[in-house]
Amino acid sequence: MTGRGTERLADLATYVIALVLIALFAAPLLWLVSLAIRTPAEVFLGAARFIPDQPTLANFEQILTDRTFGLYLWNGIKLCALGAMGALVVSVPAAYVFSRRSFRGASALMLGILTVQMVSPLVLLIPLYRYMERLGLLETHAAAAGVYMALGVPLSVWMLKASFDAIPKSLEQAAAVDGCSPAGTLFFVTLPLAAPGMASAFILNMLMGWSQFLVPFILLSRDQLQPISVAIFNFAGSTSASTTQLLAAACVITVLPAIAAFLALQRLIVSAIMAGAVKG
Amino acid sequence: MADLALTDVMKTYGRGQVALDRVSLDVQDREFVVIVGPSGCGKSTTLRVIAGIEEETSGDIRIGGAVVNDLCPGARDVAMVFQDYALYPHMTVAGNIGFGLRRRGMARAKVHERVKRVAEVLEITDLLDRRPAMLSGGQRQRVAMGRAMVRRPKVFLFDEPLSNLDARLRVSMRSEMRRLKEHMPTTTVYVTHDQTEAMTMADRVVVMNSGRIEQVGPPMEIYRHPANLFVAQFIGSPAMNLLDATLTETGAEIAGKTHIALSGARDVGRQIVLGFRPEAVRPADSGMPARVRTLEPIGQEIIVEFESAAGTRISSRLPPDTQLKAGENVHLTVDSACAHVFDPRTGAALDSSA
Ligand SMILES: Nc1ncnc2c1ncn2[C@@H]1O[C@H](COP(=O)(O)OP(=O)(O)OP(=O)(O)O)[C@@H](O)[C@H]1O
Ligand SMILES: [Mg+2]
Repeated sequence: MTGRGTERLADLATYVIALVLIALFAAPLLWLVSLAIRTPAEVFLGAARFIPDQPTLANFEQILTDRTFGLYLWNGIKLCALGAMGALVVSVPAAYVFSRRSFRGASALMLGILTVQMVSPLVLLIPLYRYMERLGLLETHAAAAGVYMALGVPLSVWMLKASFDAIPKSLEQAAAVDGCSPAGTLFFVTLPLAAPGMASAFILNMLMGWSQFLVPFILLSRDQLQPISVAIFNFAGSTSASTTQLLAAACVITVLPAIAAFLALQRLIVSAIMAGAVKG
Repeated sequence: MADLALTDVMKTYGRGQVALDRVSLDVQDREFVVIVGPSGCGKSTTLRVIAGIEEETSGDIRIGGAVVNDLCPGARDVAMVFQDYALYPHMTVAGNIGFGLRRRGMARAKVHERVKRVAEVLEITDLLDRRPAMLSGGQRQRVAMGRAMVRRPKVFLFDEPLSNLDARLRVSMRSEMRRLKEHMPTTTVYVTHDQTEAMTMADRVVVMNSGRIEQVGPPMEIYRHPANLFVAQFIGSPAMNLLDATLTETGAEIAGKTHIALSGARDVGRQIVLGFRPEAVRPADSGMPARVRTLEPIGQEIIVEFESAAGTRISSRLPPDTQLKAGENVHLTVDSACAHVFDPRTGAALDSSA
């Protein structure tokens, strides 16, 4: 067999595996979409009819015009955005220092930050609940967003350090010679160049927050404070067969922003803004 | 416009690695000084200490008579062209060139005017709206120069600005640098490891080696009177020929009983290193026996490498019509007026009356 032939075979294998994976992940999603566009009558047919005879958008309409659904969606976005923003605000200075200064124990600290990521939030939930109760922060968005933020910091620091590392030091030195103060250099040169990295970290944090369930479930019990993930769970708990299609529609709408964010993230990661900074 | 002075500048990194060892240098107002030296000898470090990007361990730096040790880079009023250009990738060419002026609070319209004028001089007017990523190496180099020129600083610092260009572009940029020098005479420290650049552009050349200044002087003086063995070997291509020899009453005797006449009084019997440039040696009817190893015709001349009886390589520049064949046995004669004498232990040049 020629080398070319083996390569072909390997390519084929890659595609087959990719297809299996896609099927594995896509099937539940497609099932969800299928349910979401059914009339109540067709919901009873179950898996027997994957593509409904009378597809309808009425379920989406009903969900989107529902006041409380809007509130849950807004709560979800608010918590994610606050958490992601907070994580960024905390991570940027930390990552900058890790990238630009060398000090004793820097790499140990970086690893230490990462180990925080390895601790499951499950382990922390009971103590967290107690702390928040003591602080009188139960049933507040600040508390939940704060936890989102803390969970996002380790990965953000690592991501941002990598993007600061990719910025040549000579650019900052050039800015200094051009008359920038250290703060000016950060503001006019370093941060704009780290923008794609910061955006990536922000979106990733948003995604992680969006799929967050346990933290808001434990910390927020009042209905009007809950984000969409918890609300859907509660709704599903109270669901009867006649509302399955509505639940599915709500789920689809919830997944869409995550997909959009993911596509944006991919574009950012691919864009190579550093090209042309230095000769080469 | 200002003069620049370094006094006993030391720079040590981390665990006592010495990058600059008591460097002292006076650069006159509007003088163009070129620093040459092998890789890692401290050329860039010297520039960075002058610019204030790196802090000196000890010593003084003066610009226009004032000590600037404690000033931040921006306050020293120097402009630097970096070894890697360091153009801001998120700004247009115009933005890059104007950045320093804007940060110093110059009005937008005035900055625009200055940028335009510099762009005309450098012939990059039609590139002003592009980003650095969309420029060729030569164009980036010009933008980097423009960013320095537009500021009209007290001192220009150049760190190997031509090193990444191809040979042809380098020659044309070299003449452009010379034009710039006429156009905007400014105190300049220019770093290179290319001695052709050094010889053709410098008012004075500084030869550095492992953190120390070996010699400072006008290019031809460095070429004709190297202060020590390092400078003798570093400046000139092919390098100066160096042979062990013993001083006699009338000159020096090279191993192999060849005698070279030197003028002046001397320490008879003293061991020395005798140096002579490739253009000072040629075949003759009598003299040092040697064999032709290789011939390299390079157009206007031939570089011939000989091997002496003692096995030492001797290179020579000869006219292009020289009739020699590899393997041929000849005798070599040295123009004694061009011979250099060095102390084998200290490496220092001994004047011929030593
Ligand atoms: N940040 C640093 N930390 C430790 N040592 C350094 C640092 N920067 C430079 N050095 C050392 O200082 C010495 C001088 O470096 P420098 O960059 O000035 O050399 P150079 O003459 O510019 O060389 P080249 O021609 O390769 O650019 C080198 O031995 C180098 O290893
Ligand atoms: Mg260098």
